[in-house]
Formats: sequence, structure tokens, C-alpha cells
Amino acid sequence: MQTLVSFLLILFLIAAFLRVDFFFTILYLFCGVYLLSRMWVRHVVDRVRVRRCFTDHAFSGDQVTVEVALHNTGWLPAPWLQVGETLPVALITPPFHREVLSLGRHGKRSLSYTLHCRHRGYYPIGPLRLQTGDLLGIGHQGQVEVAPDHLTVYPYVVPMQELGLPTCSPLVALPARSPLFEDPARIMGVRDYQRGDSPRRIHWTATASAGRLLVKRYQPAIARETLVCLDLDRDDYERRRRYTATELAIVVAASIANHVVVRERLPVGLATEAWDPLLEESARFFLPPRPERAHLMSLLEVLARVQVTLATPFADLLRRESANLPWGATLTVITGCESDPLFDTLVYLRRAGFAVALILVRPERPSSELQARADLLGVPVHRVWREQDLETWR
Amino acid sequence: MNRDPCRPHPGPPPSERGRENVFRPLVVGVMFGCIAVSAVGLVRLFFPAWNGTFLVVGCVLAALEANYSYRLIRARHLWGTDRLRFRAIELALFFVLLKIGGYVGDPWTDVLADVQTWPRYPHRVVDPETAGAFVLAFLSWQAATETAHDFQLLGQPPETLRYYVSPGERLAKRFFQGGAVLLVITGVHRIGIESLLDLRRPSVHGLVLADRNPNVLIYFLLGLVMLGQVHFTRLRQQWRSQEITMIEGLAGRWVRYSLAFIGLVALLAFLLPTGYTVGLLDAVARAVSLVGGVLWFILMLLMLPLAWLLWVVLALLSRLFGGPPPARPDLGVPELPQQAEALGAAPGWFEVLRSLVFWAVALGMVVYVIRTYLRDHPEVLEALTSRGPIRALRRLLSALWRRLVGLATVVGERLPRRLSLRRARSEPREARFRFFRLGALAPRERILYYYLSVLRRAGQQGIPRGRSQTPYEYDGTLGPRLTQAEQEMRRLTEAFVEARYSRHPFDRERDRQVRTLWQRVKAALRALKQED
Repeated sequence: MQTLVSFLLILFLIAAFLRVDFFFTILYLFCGVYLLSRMWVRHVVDRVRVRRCFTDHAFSGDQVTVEVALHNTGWLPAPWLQVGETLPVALITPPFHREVLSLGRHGKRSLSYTLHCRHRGYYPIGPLRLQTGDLLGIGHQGQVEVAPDHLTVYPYVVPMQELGLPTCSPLVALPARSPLFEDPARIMGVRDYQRGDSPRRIHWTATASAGRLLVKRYQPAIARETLVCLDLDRDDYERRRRYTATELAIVVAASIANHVVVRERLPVGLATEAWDPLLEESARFFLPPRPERAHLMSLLEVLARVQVTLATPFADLLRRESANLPWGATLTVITGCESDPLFDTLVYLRRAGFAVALILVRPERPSSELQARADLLGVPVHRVWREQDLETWR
Repeated sequence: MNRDPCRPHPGPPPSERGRENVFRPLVVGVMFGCIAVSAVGLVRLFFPAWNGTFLVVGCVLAALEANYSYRLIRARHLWGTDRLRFRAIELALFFVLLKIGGYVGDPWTDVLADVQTWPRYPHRVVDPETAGAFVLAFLSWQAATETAHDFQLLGQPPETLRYYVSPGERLAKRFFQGGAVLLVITGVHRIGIESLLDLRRPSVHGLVLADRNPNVLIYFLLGLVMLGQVHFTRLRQQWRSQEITMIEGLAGRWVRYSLAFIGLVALLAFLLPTGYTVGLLDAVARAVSLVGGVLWFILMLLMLPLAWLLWVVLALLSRLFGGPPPARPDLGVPELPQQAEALGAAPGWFEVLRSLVFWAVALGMVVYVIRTYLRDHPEVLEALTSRGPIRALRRLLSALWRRLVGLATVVGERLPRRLSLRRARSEPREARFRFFRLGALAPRERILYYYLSVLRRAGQQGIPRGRSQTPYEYDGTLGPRLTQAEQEMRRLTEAFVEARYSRHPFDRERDRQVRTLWQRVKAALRALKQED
């Protein structure tokens, strides 16, 4: 405060000229007010600790309560603290939480607010700005900024029927038509004994029950892995519907992955190239197929935060990532447009021994030409476009 | 939730209303009263019999009334002529009340006698006492009205005028201006008019509290409390406009913390030294004199044995040659200057020390506050230094500084190089044994040494460098002779030129490379010698 400094100078001159001792006490009083206010504000700024407590992962539709705990670790009280938390508009309206409070010495206080996870994403919770100052308006202000934490909201997972997709997952005729191996851990039924069957295949309890010799039928052990290939290249979606289409594509990918792991108990992986807000750059994601639920969660986490980007052509991504898959694996290709390079890649993948399913996320039905070519290749083509459903799920 | 439009606005809570309607006007009134007390004291220097109590009461009442009338005018929406009429009646009432106040304490007979003279002499109604009191009360009323107006505007969004001053700043400025006026009036009242210009007068000791007139202290303490309230009101309005939630009881805490803080600072202020007997310049002069005296004392103590020795020698010589004996030196311990001065009228060293401590504390605080303020507000410092003469002085000083720094850098770099070169050149001429340790040299010096060593060796073999030859020219002379190390000689010359004329540092690796070249050139020179 300029006025105070000017007054101090004048006061000093008056006191020195008039030589009244008490005026120096007044001078000390104002100097003390100025300096101790400053020290107090600094002390408060240095000693206030802030901690956010909340569940940092949530499903769409959940409500997350965030608790902000403030602790004054100093021996001086914090007379006033203006707390301002910046929040994502997709989670709360208005997109901030502001409060003014006071903390005594070693005082604690917590604020809480609820976030509505209406939409998948990777959201910064914060930064939190803590502003304080002196009591007399001398002009000292202190500010503390607490770095943001992040909340991951998983995408919607909906039943396959709601997406209009067949439930005989993973979208192609599996179990495979040409089983090369059989998995003795997966019994799919029994049949009558035939000459040449190994005695180890005899199902003794069923035989005893039926009164005739029965052998176990195993599920084929051809590669049962499914890789969800998600196209998030900005140019592959029509501009007007880009947001809806990509969000729907992500919901489709999450739902398929969930279906494969939870219902089918089969391994699923993810391949995509997208903008990652965590890294703040475009990144290639390849999560190799695995059947565990924990893996599903990490897959959903990636799907929660990816955004469209200007990526390398999707066909190249398919070719590159298929190299990591075993023969006979299934690729579920989710994209927004059909193109010759994409179809050529599908042909390549089929010839390489992969099962392929194509899911187009767009309002138009696949062209008859594409359908015919896909039929010829044995690639099932599905179309998903139920925009109203996307809204309903939210 | 929609508010019913017919329902009146709930308004501020009762505690807040109490603070606005009672506390603030009362504090403002008391503060104006404090100034009036000092003003009355000053007037009583000239008219000791004058009872100015009514003026103090008048100023307090004027301030309270100003606040009330301001609110009333706003509530009734009085504008134009109505407002002027209201104000005129207000001021007339003031005058009447002050006139009545002037008669308080007078006998009824005197009052009646004075009143009876009014029809004949109407000008006696406006006597100097009433006129002076009216002017003071009017000033109090005017300042209180402006204060009420500023309180009303607190927390409102700032205007975009160039010279806009926020209401909070105006209030603070008014408080400080009032404080300065109060200090001057009180100071003049305490020391008296006649001794105002006497710079040798003793300082006025003691607290104002002891004088049964604690108005100065009350004014500043209340002012600080008021500053706290102004700040709180401004912030609260700001928070309300931004719809920021406030915790319950913040206002109460604010008052408690403010009072505690001001009380603590006041306590500290009372503990610090205030009395001094020696002025600032005198104190500095005495401190310098003290230091000089102590130094002189030490010098004398050191000189004493020498003087004794000299006296003994002179005494012996005088005996030998029969001259008169020299005067014996004073054997007494030299006196410290303060011992001599303590006898006189000058203050003792304790007083000087006390004054020095006082000046150090007072000046230190003021300087620290100014320094802190300028550090927090660099724009103010920039504005100050951008003024014409200061800017020119600053430029001159910074140019001088740059020159000095540059000069020091050049000297620091060139001097060791020159010295090492001179040493290296003088080495063959001197041809005397000198302990030399190559490892102790810096890489640059070593590279210089390698080349100069080659020069010396080549000179011994009859291929000296001509005084006018540059290193490259000499390389053209010597290089073809060293068939096994012509390239190495070339590179050694380049390294020498680089080390001699560049400024960049040389590392150990570079030194090692040049050393290898030097060894090869030396080997080639040895081979040349054997061939010869």
C-alpha cells in the first residue's frame, strides 16, 4: 500500500523534527503492522497443506465425492483462505468450487463436492488455488497452487444387443470351424465313444450315468484371442458427426472387450492410435490380449482417456499390430469409414490366417459392393449407429 | 429457487447492520473527536482559559450526524433543491448548536446580556469563537460524509477511469492524512510554538497516555481496527458478488484476530526504544569519533615500546657524545577519548550508544519497509527510476559499472597470460636454474610452454625464430626441416596461436593432444641434431 509507505516516511520526518518520543512508538506500530502482516501471510502460505481424497476411477453414471482436506500446520491461524478449485465442466456445473474459510492454529477443515461422471474421460481435478492475505488490507497477498489430480471415468459398457451386434462373440464364427487343437480344459459336451478315441477322453461319470461309454468333447484350441482395433484417426470420421461417432466407437470397443472377457472368458486386447491426455501427445496403444478382469480394467482405462487425433493411416496400424498376434486370432476392426486401403488390409489379414470382423460406426448402411466383397472374404460387417442410445446410456 | 418478487430483500444480517449503523459511525466520530482534542489543545496555547470541550463534542456529533444524514438522503432519494435545502438546514443547526455550546459554563446573566446585544449588533452572532468552531465542525462533517460515501461504495467493481482511486484506498488515505495532521498538531501543542524551531531542544519523553490525553493512540488504534473492517467489507462484497460461500462466524474471527494482532504489535512497539539524546548526525559523528579514538589508543599502545627503545638509544648516545639527555617519553597509558569528554557537558557514551541503537532500529525499520515495498512493487521502482535525472544518473552508474566489470575481466584474463609469456620469453635468456613443475601450470599455459620449448630447442640447433617472424612464418621455416614431424609442427603452431589469442578455456584433453605433438616435434628435433 503506497499510502502507508508514504505515511511512514512522513511520520518519521515529523517524529524526527518534533522530537516527540511517542511518535516513534506510532512509527514502530505501523512498521510492525506492515512487517508482521507480511510475515504472517508468508507463514500461512508456507504452512497450509492441502490434500484431495477421492476415488480416482469411476464408471460412467457414478457420482464421485471429492473431499479437500486443509490443514494449517503452523502455529499462527490463517485468518482467511479463499479456496478455488477448478473443475471440468463435464463433471460439475458450475465448473469450480469456491469457498472462503478460516483455520485456527493447527486447524483442520475439509470441503466436499460431488462430481457427476456423465461422460468418459480423463479429467483434471484442480488446480486448487488457495489465496490468503493480511487482515488490514496493507496489500500482502499470498497464493498457493495445488497441482491437479486426475479422475478417470470409464466409458459406458452396454450389452451387445443394444449395439445391434451378434452375441456369438467375438463377432466371427467362433469356436473356430477348423480346429487344429483341442483344449482339454474346456469341455463343451460329450459324445458316444468311437473306435480310436483315447481312453483318457472317456467321461467316466457321464458314462456311469448314461450307461454307455461316452467321451468328452473339447473346445477347439485354435487361437481364441481377440484384438479390438479402434480407429481414432480424425480423418476417418465425418466432420459433422465426428464427436458422436468416435464416442460411439469407443463405447462399442469397451462393450466388446467387456463381453469377451466377462461373458466369453476369452482374452481380448486393444490396438489404437490416439491422443493421450496423460502424455499430452499422440500415442500408439497396444494391449496384448489377456483374459483377466484386471486387464479389462486397464483396457477400459485406455479407452476412457483416448481422443481422436491425426494419426497414421488405420490400415497401416492393422497390418503392424497383426504381426503381434498368433495365427487364427480374431481382429475386430472398428472404424468410421470404408476405403479401398482398408479393404485391402482386410484381405491381407484374412490371407494371413486371421479372423476379421468389421464394425462401421456411421449412420449409413455398408454399400452393397462392400457387403458383397466382405461376404466373399468371409468377413462379417456390422453397422452401429444408434445415437439416441448413446444419449440414453448417459 | 425463485425468489418472490413481492417479498422484500432480506438485507444484511443484524450483526452486519449493527456494524454498519452503529460501530462504524461511532468509530469515525471518535476519530474525528481525537483530532479535535488536539486542535483544542493547540488553541489553548493561545487562549489558556478557553474551554473547548463543546468543540470536541461538536466534531463527534457532526461526524455522527453526517453518517446519518448521508443514509437518510440516500433512503429518501433527495436530489437537487431538496437536497440543498436539507443540507442548509443541517449546517444552520450546527451553527446554532455550536453557538449554544459556546455558552456552556457561562453564567445566565452573561448569556442573556450577550443575546440582548444581537438586535443592535447582529454581527456579534458570528463571533470568532463560534466561527472557528463551525469551520472545524464543518470539516469534520464533510470528511465524515465522504467517509460514509466511501463505505457505501466498498466492494463495488472498480471504474475504468485513468485516475480512479478505490474507496478503500481513499479511506486509508484519509486516515493517514488525518493521522499526519493529528501528529503535527499534537507535537506543536506538546513542544510549544516558541521552541518549534529550536533544534537543540530536548526530546519530549513519556507516553501520550500519561498526559491524560490518549487521543493520538486512540486515533491510530481505532484507525487500524477500521482499516481491518474496511478490508473485510471489501473482500466480503467481492466474495458475495462472485457467489463464494463463506463460513459462519468469519466476521467475528476477523474482529478477534484483528484486535489481537493490533494489540500484539502495539505491545511490541511500546517495548522498542524511543528516547534519544543525540541527533542522528551527531550520533553518527560520535560513533565515528569513538572508532577513531579506539584506533588511536591502539596505535599509541603499539608505539609505546618503540618510543622507549628510541629513548634508550638516544640516552646512550647523549652519554657517549656528552649531549643533553633526551626527554623521557610519557609512560602513562593514553586516555580514551570518552574519558575526556565525559568530564564535559557532552552526553556520555551510554547515551550515545542508546541513541545509536535507537536510530538503527527506527531507520532500519523504515528502510526495510521501503525496500520490501519496492521489491513487492517493482513497477513503483521502475516509475521512480524512469524519471529524467534519476534515469540519467542510473545510466551513468550502470555504464561505469559495466566499464569497471569489463576492465576487471580483461585484466584478470590478460595479466596471467602476459606474465606467463614474459616468464617463458625470459627463460632462455636467464639460463639459470629454476624449479619448474609443468603439472602445476594451467592447460593454456602448458600449451604455450610446449611451443616456446620448441622455439628454444630449435634456436639451440641454429634455427632461431626471427624477431619479426610470426608463428606461421616461423612454421614455414622450421616445418620443412622437420621431415618426420612437419604436420605436428604445423598443428603445434596452430595450438599455440589458439592458446595465445583466444579466450575460451582449454581442457586437459586438449593439453594431452598438444603434448603428444610437442613430444613428436622434440623427437624430430633430436633426430635432426643427430643428423647434423
